[in-house]
Amino acid sequence: MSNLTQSTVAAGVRPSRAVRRQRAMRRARNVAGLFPFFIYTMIFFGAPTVMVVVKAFQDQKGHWTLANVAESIQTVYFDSFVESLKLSFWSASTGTIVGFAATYALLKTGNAWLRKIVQTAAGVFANTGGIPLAFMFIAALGTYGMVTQWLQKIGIDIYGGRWTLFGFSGLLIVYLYFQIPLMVIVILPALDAQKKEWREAATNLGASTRQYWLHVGGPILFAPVAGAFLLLFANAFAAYATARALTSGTLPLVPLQIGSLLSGNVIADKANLGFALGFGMIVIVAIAMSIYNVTQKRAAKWLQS
Amino acid sequence: MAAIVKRRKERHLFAWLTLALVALYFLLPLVSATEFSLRENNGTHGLDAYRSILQQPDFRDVIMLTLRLTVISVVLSLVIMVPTVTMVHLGAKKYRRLVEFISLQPLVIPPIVLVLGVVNVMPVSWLGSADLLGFEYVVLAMPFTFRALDAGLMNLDVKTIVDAARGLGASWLTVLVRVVAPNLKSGIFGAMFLTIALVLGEFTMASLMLWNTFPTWIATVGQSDAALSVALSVASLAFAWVLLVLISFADRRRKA
Amino acid sequence: MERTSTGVELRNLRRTFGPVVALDNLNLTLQPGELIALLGPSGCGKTTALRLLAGLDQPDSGEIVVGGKDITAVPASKRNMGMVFQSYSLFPNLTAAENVAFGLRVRRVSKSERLKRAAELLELVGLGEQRDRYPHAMSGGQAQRVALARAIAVQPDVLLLDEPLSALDAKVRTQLRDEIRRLQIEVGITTLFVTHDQEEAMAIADRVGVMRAGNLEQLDLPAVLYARPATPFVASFVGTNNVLPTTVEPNGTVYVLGRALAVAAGSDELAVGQAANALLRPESVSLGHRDGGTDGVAGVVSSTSFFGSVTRLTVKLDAGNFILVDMPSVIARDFSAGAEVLARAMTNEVVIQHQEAVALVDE
Repeated sequence: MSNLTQSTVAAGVRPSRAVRRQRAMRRARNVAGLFPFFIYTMIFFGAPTVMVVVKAFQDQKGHWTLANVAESIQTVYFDSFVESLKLSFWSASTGTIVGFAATYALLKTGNAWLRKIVQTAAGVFANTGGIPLAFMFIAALGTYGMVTQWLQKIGIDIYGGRWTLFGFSGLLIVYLYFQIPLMVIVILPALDAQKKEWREAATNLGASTRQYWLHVGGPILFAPVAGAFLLLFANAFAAYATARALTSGTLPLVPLQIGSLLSGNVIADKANLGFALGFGMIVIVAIAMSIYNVTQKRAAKWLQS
Repeated sequence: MAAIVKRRKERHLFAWLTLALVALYFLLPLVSATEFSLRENNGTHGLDAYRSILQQPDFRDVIMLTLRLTVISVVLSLVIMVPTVTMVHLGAKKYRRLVEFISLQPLVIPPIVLVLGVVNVMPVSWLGSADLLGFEYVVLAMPFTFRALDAGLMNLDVKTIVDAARGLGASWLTVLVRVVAPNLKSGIFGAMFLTIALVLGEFTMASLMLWNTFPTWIATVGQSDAALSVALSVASLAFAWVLLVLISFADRRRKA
Repeated sequence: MERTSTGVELRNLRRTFGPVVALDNLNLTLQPGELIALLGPSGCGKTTALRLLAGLDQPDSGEIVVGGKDITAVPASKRNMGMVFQSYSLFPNLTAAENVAFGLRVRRVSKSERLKRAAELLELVGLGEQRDRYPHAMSGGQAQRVALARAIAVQPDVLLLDEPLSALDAKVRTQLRDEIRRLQIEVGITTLFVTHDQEEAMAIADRVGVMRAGNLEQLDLPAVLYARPATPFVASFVGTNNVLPTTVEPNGTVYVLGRALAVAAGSDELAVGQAANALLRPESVSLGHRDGGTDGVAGVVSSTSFFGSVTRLTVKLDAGNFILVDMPSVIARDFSAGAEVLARAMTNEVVIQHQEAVALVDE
């Protein structure tokens, strides 16, 4: 039976029992078609995640406890949360500012050809992470890196003081390599959606550039920019590989702590502490992503009209 | 009036300057890595590091394992996601939000947390097989595969097309292969390339599940031979970038 | 809101974009309180003229004088003009009332005062209830009303309307058009209205200026523009025309639909014996039944369209070409499709133009 006749029936009288049964079967078949997806995600994603959350609140014998969570926000583990949040915050805010400036500059040039290149490059660089990224920067700014040697030749020894690529600020520089492009990707549509009529209408009504940004441009861009910041924040917070390769675990970041707990580099009775740290990460990323979703919805509403 | 023109030009110049600085930040590490990978022991430059890649004793094993994981993840991704996404665009429309929500969750759970759960919840026999890693890559790739396929189907009225084909007497399988798949082509390619790029770069889960894939191997090599590991990094980045550039072209064609 | 209106003078305005001459040498005077519509095909320079007046663009040369003062060098934000754009111009982050109050806010009018004014103005455009709505929740017509209220809230010297109706659907368009006119007369504000829709221009304006390729071809009362077009372009652009091939006779007349007609002023200069196109309005054609015996050119009615008091008939002449004929519906009842008729020109003079000039009409 075609949909046309079905909807005709629905619009008029109450459908016959046969039609209703057929519809119920169709619905059941549709849901059944989604079973493989649900089952797969449940086994390979749901179960491990639930496991982390549950074990975060259990001791090694399976008794309920808050000890793990309590310990995960104390002493060295508390420090690692602070350090991770700091790194995420700074790399996200720097990435947001630089990425925004670059996108704004890109649109200012009005060069369509350049725009295509930047868009493609941003897509590529935003997905560049992990080990290769770390080694690329070692080749540039490491002790024997090309840029390091260049700078030495003109009399600047970046390793003369206490700075090192393998510390906090070094990691920050490396993270920007994927943070800036991500910002460009996320903010370009929002900046595109800015209508030149808004600016012209404001000018026409007597507003100065400052007043335009204060009352119109700023408020409109706030949601997309805040959203982008949160996305960058979560992105940096979850990163593991680059930090692992560059710092060899010397910098206390939450993902690195979990990694070393998992590799068994610690005392056995702290095994469940890793789950508590993992739970903490989930909470923080989930908060960031939820606010991100809210900002996206608001931005979509404003920018569509 | 001349002042206005001048101001416009200055602003333009400032924009180009900003972009040039940003470009410098992105190009310098690339150039450095290339230069570094060409360094030879005697202070000259050459292809020694690249030549030695093939002579590494682990090379064959690493490549075979990585290829195996790539094939598993790509095939399994498509087998699970193509029918699912098609379904939510057909009869089960009201489940689209739910499926989307679930598919995007791997962005909320960092891989480091996921692997923590995986090694603790999975039976030991499963953990003994590298294939489990491939199964998990399907999960990590889900946000991207869902979006690529969803966008592919969003642009066309699947329901009408499928009803038309069914009306002409086609079976469900025929519809899926003959009607849905061609329309999904760019989405499928996008999903495939992204999954490949992901598998070739994924380090967190591979290293903590103790499998020697390409990225973990680079990290191991890096402890003894810097030039070699940089050469491997350059090679793997170049490969991933070719894939990603291809995706962006596929995307553009879809929009056109 | 009674206030003295301001006159506007555009003198020798020229604006080029690279090799493209958007405005050649525009001279235009708006009397205080007058509404002038600039009409023309896209790219004729009408929007450029409006943007120059608003200060959103600068002329290469020429002067803009408002209320006796040369404001050519005054920045847009200091010109005190209200502008309504084609669409998308409402600030999406502000409510209807906040949008209307925006101009007052940047003029540092107190909050209570400006909200009171905004409420009044929204009332004036019939949106008193919608003051707390955001633009994304408004229809196109509502948004344009708010934009209009926002433009007049600052008590501008000049109101500028840049195709404010073209993004709306037909019914809302005529409704809002009439409302704009009512409001404009009520406030007594000097207004420049830019449009490509001739019906709209004719209906709303005191005077209509027809532009083409950066030049003002004719500026006149709507009725004059229609009845006595100054150039063949105006004749063909304004109103509907039957384009009928003809030849210039030795006595200077042309034969159109069986009658010798004088060549109207504003026609192209054509030599005797040259082929020409005559532009004949549909209402300037009369029909008679063939058996009635009146003279004229034979044809058959192929279809009729009823427009209320007027009916438009399409007649296929025996020569093969089609003409349109408008007549009162009461009379049109006698001519149904298939009726054999004689068509006759019902005017004493007609505009003629070079035959190749016709192509210009559709550009």
